[in-house]
Amino acid sequence: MRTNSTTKLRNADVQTKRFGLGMITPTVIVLLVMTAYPLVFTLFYSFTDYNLLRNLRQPAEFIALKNYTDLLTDPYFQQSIWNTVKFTILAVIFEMIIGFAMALFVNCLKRGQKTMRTLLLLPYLLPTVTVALSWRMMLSPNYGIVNQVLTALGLPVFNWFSDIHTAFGMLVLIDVWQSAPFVFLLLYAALQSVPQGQYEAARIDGAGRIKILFYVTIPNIKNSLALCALLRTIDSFRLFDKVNLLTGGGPANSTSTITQYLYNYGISSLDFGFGSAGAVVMTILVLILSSVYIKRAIQ
Amino acid sequence: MAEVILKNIKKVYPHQEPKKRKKGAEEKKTNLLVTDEGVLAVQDFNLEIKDKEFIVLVGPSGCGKSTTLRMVAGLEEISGGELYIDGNLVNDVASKDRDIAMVFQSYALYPHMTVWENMAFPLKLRKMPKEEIAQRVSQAAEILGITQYLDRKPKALSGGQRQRVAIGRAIVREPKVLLMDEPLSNLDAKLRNQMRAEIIKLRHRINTTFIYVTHDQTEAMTLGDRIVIMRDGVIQQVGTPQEVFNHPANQFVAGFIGMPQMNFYDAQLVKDSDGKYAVELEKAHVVLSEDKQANLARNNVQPGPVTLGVRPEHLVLTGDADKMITGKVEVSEMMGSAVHLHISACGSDTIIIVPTTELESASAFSIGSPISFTFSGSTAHLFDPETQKSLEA
Amino acid sequence: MKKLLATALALTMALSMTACGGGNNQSSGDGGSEGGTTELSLILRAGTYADVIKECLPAFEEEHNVTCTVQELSESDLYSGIALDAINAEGSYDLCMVDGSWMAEFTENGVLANLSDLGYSLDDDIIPATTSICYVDDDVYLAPYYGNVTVLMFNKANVEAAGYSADTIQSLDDILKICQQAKADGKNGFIYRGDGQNNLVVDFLPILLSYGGWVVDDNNQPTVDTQEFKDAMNYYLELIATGQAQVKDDLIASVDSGSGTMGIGWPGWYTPTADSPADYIALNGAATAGGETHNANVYGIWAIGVPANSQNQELAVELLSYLMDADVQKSTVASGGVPCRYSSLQDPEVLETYPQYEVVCQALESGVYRPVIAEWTQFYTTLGTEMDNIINGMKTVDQGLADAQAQLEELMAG
Repeated sequence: MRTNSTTKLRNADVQTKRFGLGMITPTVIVLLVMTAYPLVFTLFYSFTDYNLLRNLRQPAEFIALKNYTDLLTDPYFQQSIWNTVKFTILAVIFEMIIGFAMALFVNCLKRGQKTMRTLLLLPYLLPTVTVALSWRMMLSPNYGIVNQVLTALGLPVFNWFSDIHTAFGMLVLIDVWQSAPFVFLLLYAALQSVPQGQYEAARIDGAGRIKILFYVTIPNIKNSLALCALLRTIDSFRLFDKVNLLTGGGPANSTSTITQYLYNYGISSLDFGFGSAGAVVMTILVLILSSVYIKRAIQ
Repeated sequence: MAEVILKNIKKVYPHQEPKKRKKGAEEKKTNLLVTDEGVLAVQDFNLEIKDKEFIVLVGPSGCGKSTTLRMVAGLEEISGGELYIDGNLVNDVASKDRDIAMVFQSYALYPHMTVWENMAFPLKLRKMPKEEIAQRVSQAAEILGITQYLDRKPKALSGGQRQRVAIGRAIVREPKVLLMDEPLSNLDAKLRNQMRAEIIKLRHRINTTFIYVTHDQTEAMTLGDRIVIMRDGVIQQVGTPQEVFNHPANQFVAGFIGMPQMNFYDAQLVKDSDGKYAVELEKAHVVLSEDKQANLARNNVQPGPVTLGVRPEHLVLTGDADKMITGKVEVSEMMGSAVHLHISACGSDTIIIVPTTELESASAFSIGSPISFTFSGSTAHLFDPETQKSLEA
Repeated sequence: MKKLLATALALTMALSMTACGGGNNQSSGDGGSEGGTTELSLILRAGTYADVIKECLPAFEEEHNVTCTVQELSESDLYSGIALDAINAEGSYDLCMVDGSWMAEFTENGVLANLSDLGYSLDDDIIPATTSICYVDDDVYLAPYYGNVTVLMFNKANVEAAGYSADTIQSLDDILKICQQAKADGKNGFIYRGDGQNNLVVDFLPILLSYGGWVVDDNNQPTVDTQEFKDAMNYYLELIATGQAQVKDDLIASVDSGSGTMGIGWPGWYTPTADSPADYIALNGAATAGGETHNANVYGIWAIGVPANSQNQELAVELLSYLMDADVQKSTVASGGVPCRYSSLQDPEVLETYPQYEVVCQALESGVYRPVIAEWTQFYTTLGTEMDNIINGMKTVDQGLADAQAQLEELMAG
């Protein structure tokens, strides 16, 4: 009798395990096909000189780390890394400050919070391409409204996207314009969850508005601030569409981000081997960046 | 001198704009007066609090006690009336300039600061020299018994410890008035009793005026020099614990103060042939005591239907057999030193407290057994059935 | 029972997932026949180039009982589109429009079908100079369809203000004078396209040619640091100092409105009439007045061909022949088409309504193709980057060109 019941238990156990395995198999297959396979092959291609068209007649050759050395010693790649880092830092700082200010402002409103929230969120909802093209139109030297207004006010006018002094700044401006609402939304939600009692206690303790901001508000939303910064950093690091549409990496490589560089040298020339190496390098950089944040956030 | 005077204080919450009202008017649970301006949360609040007095505002939820406290603190705007602290009109003075400190029900500690920093924060804001801050904080910590927690953050403390830190943060300021908003409500029963005793001890070590808000009448009775009982935004009675216990101004106060609640009956007030007032309830005919006679006579009370109130501990089981009220025992609660009998009599529930020493045997009053009781003329409280006011006031 | 049901569910889900994901490896288009009508798929350059072809299609469709679907793309997307489809065993496209400069890379890797084998040949009416890139050895791979060639766009009013007219612009010096005058008058002189390496290089090539220089020699080795190149570069820097960089749409609008004076353009961008504010001429190819003239107009001819992996090669070749037919091509002139045929460009009726086609014909006769090398894409990317540096003052002319030369030598050697 006892053997019967133990066997039954074991069978039931095995059945449950099999059922579980069966249930997760489709997801595992999807993951393998969609994620693992491309990753592995990108890594594989990065060690070859694979060119899409040349591959029709002549198979790709294994060239070990040549792609990587070419990449890392190329001064334009180094410049694009520097551009990307510069862009990310500037964009994230401005987005955080402006987004936070917007969140504080809307939080203080006594009425019309919902309307303001929707209005302020609109830029983020627009597709990037729309944003880029709209801004290009507005900043056009010919019929752009910005230049017309500036001329009317007697202020200096620039050829925004083609002038080496202003092109980078314009990209930062447009990206901040589009992404600050995202920061605003996250921080606004976080602000709602700060307990009212702490504000009151601080008021009675004698704290003025600035002190309340630094001693009550910010410490309570620390986690959201970190999360926002992390998300925006990862996103800004991958900037491509705005650069490609507006400046193509110019003038003089001053706005070329890593992805734009890879597009020029790895994708449009169909040198996918080289492009894969670039993708791997970029992934590693993003991982390094985000691991710093993640460690901090966990603490 | 830190006396607090509230004159005709009132608080109105203005009506929301019509488009914001939900479909179908919200039913307010309380009986707050709704005027054209809005909902009257507190009305005609007049109180003079003496220096270093411990005042307790007590009442059921929604009676306006917290609102009043917050108006004194400056966290709510005063819709009408005047507030004086230490002789100064402070209606429009900011909270931080009123020289008051507050302990919140939710403690409201700063989660990212240690206990020490939490308590030092108000002093740092006032730019006090470091040595003085250190001295005050350590002194307060010692008084409250939290010296060993000074390096911890609030999330590492238990509820009771957090409460002490909150109190500590308030007393380091050495404020003129110390406000406490239901500080013990979030604690479990045993801890509550403990902290109550601590507060009493604290009160004697610190020389400040206390204004304490609670919904628990036990706390009110034990802590306050004077109690202010509130209901629906209106003061029902102000008095010492003894006063409100022995001489409740109306039926509400009588029922609110005292545990278990006073028993109420529909009785008749009659005048005997000798002109003395007596109360008749079923077969019982009780002549009232001399001082009650005097009070009733002074108020020229006419015989007629009255609401009779007798506290459970004042009902007696002995007396003239044909002048007793009969009933049936529904529940018998053994409390240790006494038995609480729940009896159905006179068409409603009655509670009688019987000390165990007076019991013949443990099963003397089993469920369903008949029982007779009566009351004495000195422990009967009489209220007008319509106005619910005390007839002896 | 439960186990059976669960396994069945799991299998169905797995199968449906693989069905979704597996589509990438097969051909995305369906080149085969559907029922009775055959479908031909065309991939073309968006703009006038595709529009004129689309107009000719209905007649062909009716006659041969086919339906034609057209995909219109930008230049870089067209390049990628053809290239990415070329690796499929079964191609999705039957007719493709190819820029002359891609020719080398495509034929080297067998992207295009051999039209001679399929029975097609180019006739004498086609301007000979335009056919040079269409042959590999003696086989035809492409037919020159749209005669795109660089022209000099200019604003009539601004040119007159400088004391010139369309006929009197003889040399680069004249161009410089006109643009400097415009700048003195508070307008922009020369507008160039600064967005992207390809555009930078292409706008510069006519200038380079006028100085007698070129990007490669006869052996396809880079010659970007020659004296001619440096002279051309220095001139160019002076020229663009009179204006600014703008994108194509802004450039056209500038020259048309008069806020800009001149720029290198393509006939497909602008149709001048007697009253239009702007017009275009072919470059004379002389750097200075009375100096040596060179062929200075760069071809951007759009040719049509058949992908090697097309599923309907015979039918596609018929379509190609039809589109290239002299009369069919002449009919596209009214919609802005520019055939590479004498019969179209020298026809008196055509010239009456579109006098500028004479200019175009001249330009086409003496045009120069961009280097026909497989590495052209990387070539202009590198050269364009260095030119960008020079134009923006990051490097001197000598330094930038020296760096370009070094990188290009490495590129062409490998």
